Amino acid sequence: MNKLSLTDRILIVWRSFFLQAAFNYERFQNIGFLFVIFPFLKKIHNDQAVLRNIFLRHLDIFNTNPYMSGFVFGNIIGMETLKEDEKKVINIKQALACAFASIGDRIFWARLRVITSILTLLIFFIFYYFSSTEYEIIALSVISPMIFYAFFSVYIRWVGLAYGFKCVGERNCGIDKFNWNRWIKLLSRVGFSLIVILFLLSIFLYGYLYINYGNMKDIFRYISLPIIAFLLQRYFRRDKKSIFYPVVSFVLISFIFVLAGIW
Amino acid sequence: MNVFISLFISSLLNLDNTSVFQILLSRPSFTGFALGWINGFPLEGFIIGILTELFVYDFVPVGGVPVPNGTIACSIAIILMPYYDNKIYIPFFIGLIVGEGFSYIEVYLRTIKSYFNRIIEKRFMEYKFRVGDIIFYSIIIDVLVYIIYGFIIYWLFSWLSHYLNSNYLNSVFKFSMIGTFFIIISSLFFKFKTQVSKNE
Repeated sequence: MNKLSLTDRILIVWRSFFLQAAFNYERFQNIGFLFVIFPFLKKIHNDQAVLRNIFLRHLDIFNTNPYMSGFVFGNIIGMETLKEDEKKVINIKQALACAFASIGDRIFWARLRVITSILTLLIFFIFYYFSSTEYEIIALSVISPMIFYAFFSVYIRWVGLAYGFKCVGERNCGIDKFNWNRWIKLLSRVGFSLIVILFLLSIFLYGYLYINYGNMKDIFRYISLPIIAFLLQRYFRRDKKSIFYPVVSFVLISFIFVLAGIW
Repeated sequence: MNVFISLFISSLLNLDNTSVFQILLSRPSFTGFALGWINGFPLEGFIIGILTELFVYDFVPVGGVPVPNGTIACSIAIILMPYYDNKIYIPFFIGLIVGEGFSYIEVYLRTIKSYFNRIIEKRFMEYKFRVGDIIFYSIIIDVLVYIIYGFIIYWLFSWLSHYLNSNYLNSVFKFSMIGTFFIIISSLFFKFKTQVSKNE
């Protein structure tokens, strides 16, 4: 097995979707990892005793970002094909898993996933009043960012696998494939720009819907809501408390204000 | 019947959260819209979904840390809506509590799944090389636990609706929902602001 065929690549990417299916706190993604490389190890090694030892070796702890796992799979399948030294395989597997976990978490969990949500809300806010049916506009705002995210995530798995197999045995394999830091910076800026637009649009729509009518009590009530929310958020988040804290505090304030007839 | 169908569909979508794919099929806005459509209120389903989503995405699941489950949060909120005069306010907050509760169930599930390691090791020692069925069983367990938890919560809060569904609580949670939206938006603003300033 000198190179991965198209069928092999499809099979690995397909199986990599199940990487976290048996996620456990003892060894994290180890069962999923073994599930992905299982058919290839069987193809490479014929001796049952050797195969058993290799299976047991790969049943050890493994944890990385699922989207970036292709880089690790490509490399490890390549090393097993070349029947590299056991220690080297384990070392490189763990080194790559850690590095890609950090990169993947920052790109996908902390940025891209949130950007997808912000985009959904932005598309909905912008087009809701122009659409004849709400079904269409909700479907558009939910599904279009989802397709973008899904395509990107599958693309990274696909490219990572090919690249990992190419630079087999290298400790920094794939880390130099893209300028990851540039991607992370770019996504941060995109996310910040989008949230600023969403923030301003939300304030505008909120004012238009709630504050431009009614008596003074209504106007006071609807102006005070976002101000109290903002202050609570700043108070609790300064100490990096969970978002539950400001939300629960807001609910408690609502209980008191509604009971007292202020809201 | 709609409750069972809704819970079954959302249990399958929930697999995308951790177990399978991770292509955002489990995102609450999508689940909310889909279940809202089935139950006859897609707009309300979407609103519950997108708010839950932005709330849940404030948590980053680094290193297998359990985070509130947005899929079950919005699913429960939607199937409870008819018990709360088709209003979204109280069910939305019930959903958030339910989503947080499910993260504790997930901790137990992941601990129990460690037992699979023993089974596989035992098999390998006997030269029985099979892993695929464990993946399958694990997925089935996820689906079953999700549906059972969903049904218990649904039964509990549909019964509690006799006590919770009042004008006073609806007003409280209406204002709380508006406040939650602004808390989430400002939280995201400062999160990205910090990211950008750290990068400079």
